[in-house]
Amino acid sequence: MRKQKNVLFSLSVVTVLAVTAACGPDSSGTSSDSGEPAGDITVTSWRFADPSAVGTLHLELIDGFNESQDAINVTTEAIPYNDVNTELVNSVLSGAPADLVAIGPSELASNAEYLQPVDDFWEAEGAEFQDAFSETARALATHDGQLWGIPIEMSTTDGMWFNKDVLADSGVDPEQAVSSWENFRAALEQIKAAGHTPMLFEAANATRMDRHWSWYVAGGADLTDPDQYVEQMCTPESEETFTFLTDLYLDGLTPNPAGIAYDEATRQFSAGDVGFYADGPWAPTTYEAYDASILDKLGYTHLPPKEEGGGYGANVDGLLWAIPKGSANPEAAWEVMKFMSSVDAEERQAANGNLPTRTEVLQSAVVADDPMLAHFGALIDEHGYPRPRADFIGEFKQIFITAYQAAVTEQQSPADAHASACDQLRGL
Amino acid sequence: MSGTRRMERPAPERPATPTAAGATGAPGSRPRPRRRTVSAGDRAIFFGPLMVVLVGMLAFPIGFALYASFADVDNLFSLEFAGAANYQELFERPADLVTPFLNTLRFVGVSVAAALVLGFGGALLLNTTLRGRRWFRSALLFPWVIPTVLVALLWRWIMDSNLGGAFNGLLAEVGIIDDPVSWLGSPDWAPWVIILAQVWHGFPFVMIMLLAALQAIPDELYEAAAVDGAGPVRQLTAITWPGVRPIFVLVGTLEGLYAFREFATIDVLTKGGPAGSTEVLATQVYRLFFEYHQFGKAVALAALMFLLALLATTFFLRLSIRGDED
Repeated sequence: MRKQKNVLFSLSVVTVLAVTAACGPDSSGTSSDSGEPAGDITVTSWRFADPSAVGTLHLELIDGFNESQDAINVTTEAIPYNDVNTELVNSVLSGAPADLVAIGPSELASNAEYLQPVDDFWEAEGAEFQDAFSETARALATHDGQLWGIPIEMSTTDGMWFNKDVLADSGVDPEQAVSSWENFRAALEQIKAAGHTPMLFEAANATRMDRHWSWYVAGGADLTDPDQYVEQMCTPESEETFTFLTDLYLDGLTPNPAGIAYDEATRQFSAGDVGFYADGPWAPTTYEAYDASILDKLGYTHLPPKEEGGGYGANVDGLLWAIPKGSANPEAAWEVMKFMSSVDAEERQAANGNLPTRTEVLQSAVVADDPMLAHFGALIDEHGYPRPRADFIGEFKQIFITAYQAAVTEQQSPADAHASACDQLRGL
Repeated sequence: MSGTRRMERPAPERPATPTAAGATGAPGSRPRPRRRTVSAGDRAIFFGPLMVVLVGMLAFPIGFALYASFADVDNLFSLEFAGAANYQELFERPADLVTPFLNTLRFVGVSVAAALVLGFGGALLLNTTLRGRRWFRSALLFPWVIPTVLVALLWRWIMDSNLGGAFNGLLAEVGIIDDPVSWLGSPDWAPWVIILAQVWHGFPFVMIMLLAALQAIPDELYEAAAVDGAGPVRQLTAITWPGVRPIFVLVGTLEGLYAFREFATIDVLTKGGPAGSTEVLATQVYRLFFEYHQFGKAVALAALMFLLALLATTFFLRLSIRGDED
């Protein structure tokens, strides 16, 4: 009997292990792009390695760096955008990090534990190098009083794109529409009445919270101090914003946001029957991939303020190169970072539709002569605030987006959902 | 019946117990065969590699993971012993665990039950002289060979929230809906969509295993039962079911474990939303570890998942063995 029990237990353990051994996320798409032998440096990248214009640019820059000198050989590893945090944590914990990673500045706070500050490198380069980057750009690379990399791109997701044909067919003037929340709602109702989808709003997962912040800023929240995030998002004004955003769906002015993430939203918008959608300056290249005919219909403006003449926000994020903790070649990694943020590299970034971080390029004809880039540059200059960042931001966003999903799907009233989220946020 | 047969079976003849005299080599007794001894070196050669594999691939990871759940892993995996602090922290907000646990139970329970029913039905069908059954056998295996992430992407397209989605498009085409339904954006529908995707992906495995079990049942049993006047239902309960029961329990257990640790389907389709309606323990572990960087809570929850899976597996295999004995 005991023997049978032992066999039974062993069988159970083996069965469980056989099945759970593969437990966890599927490794998706991590591969080596470069057939070159590994040099002193391995560059780990995310969207730059995607087969897009920026992906191509990234690889061209890496090749350019390798050709420009003999001391450092850079190899690349393709890390999908959504996997970058996972890969960073995994590689640092396993003691085998890459030497360079490209991450979003808003992820600095939650990832600082896995990166190393680069103040000494900045210091050693001297004032000329430091002053070459705009204040906004350097702020993006700063966390807890320290610099964590070199920013190579600035952007905001809070430009409002519209379909000129849909608005014309609905009799909506875009600038009038974005003059206040009330006018915006009225415009959405007009678009709906004309038989079109008025707007798209995303809330399918926690990362989509980045499309919500600026509405709260327009509603009166000050999201510049991480210590005040909870308090600012839990004021009566923020509850009002929460309700306004919830009603957009409940009143039929947007498809269910709880089921819409970025890929679905961009696909729907590109299909050509949607009035408004908030997105970044890279939007045209994204939409073009779905339906190039949308490009002729695209217009852009800003998010609506709550009241006419009031303020509105544009959360600023971008991209920076950083060095993971435990990198074997931080000095060489810094040299690569400098090359990737050179004037030439920044000009090529701008030509690809990204706002550069060097003042010289930002103020050059490359940006000034491109109305769309100039528009997004002005949004950042005049209404920009760093995208919320804190070590607890992941949980914060999850709690808030879950509450929003509960409200739009009528699991809870907006007031109850907002109150429930705030109770949880205060417990963080 | 089997019990009766066992009673009728003559007791096996035992070899005569060697007497003390025989053992000492008394005249007339057979010489005791020399017992072959296996040297420690031979043991090491035969069992060493297996032990290395078992320890390296099973015991060490389990031991490490269980230890990590009692260690200070939040501090960049320092692994300093921290007692039950991780578990204490995990249970500080029990509400965070209750919903994922209940969602897991629903996901596992319904998807396994549905996969077993569908798989058994499919196996019975394919075990008949159905015309074109070989083609069906191959076609029905198709979902099982597709990688999980692709299955999830496929279902995301099928259940897309606009009329471009296959399901919405179909319903609109036949006039059931005018406006598209946000299947994955509704807490009422999303849990059932992920269950549907899981069942679609998993039932061919059940089917093929049960089909193998069905084909192992001798035709003579059915012929004899038919001669005795047993109808299809009686044949199903008295011959088919006892014949496939062990495999049924085994594949049910395996399907349960697959569903219990399922991550990719849910992550791709809903990321645990909307409003936490599809958050299960596996996605919760991932979120705690990779999104919140709360490693201690994550490894504690993973350890609890392992124990739960172990208990459930032991229970079902015991059930299977007891059934065999009966």
